Amino acid sequence: MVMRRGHGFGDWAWQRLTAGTMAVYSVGVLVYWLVSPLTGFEGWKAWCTPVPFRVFSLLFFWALMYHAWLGVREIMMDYVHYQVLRLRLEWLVRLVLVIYTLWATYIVWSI
Amino acid sequence: MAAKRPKNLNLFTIRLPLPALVSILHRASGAFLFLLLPLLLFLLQQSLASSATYDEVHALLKTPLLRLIYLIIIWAYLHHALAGLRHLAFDAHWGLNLRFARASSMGVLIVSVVLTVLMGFLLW
Repeated sequence: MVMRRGHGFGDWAWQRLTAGTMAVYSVGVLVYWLVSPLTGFEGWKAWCTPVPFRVFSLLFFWALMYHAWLGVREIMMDYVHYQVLRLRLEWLVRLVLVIYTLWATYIVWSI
Repeated sequence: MAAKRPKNLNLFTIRLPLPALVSILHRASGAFLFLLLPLLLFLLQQSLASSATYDEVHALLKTPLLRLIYLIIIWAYLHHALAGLRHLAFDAHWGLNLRFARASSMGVLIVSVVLTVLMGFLLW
């Protein structure tokens, strides 16, 4: 049985907060796309360049990665019963998600 | 630990109620989206890198196979979001009865497919 500190209301609230962030962003992007459709590479780049869009995109990606961590950990707690293996898998998932976060930040940064 | 309990793990004979189906799809779609993250980040990066790589991504997304795949991804995203929204209702102790649970799970299944079809039309 695994019991860790800080593993209750905080995770529950963060899961919902990050989900809400992504939902608002997704609807916002959809509306943005409907009012200003995309045209080719230059148009796509110009579409992504405005600073508010980039800030919200960063928030979206950070929320996404943390949300993914909470979800994948929950799945692993249900299915990976061998603790040593699970702890190693958790390290791997954390590492991968940190890399994705840096990668996504770099993509948004260098638009 | 309770080894003598009767077990039925034959997936073809287990009756899966709609709320259970939505629940397992919520989890499966989340895991699926997690596994696709590197591919999606890569496509985003390529689409923004240069005019040539943008054209490649654009051409790739127009092939029938990729169209099918991105529709599945959109469906997974929508299903996950709507099933999550249903959970938020439960968190607020709203609709915690069997009838609503069944009706809302049906709603999640239908609305996610309808919105996916709509997105398909918009993106075609």
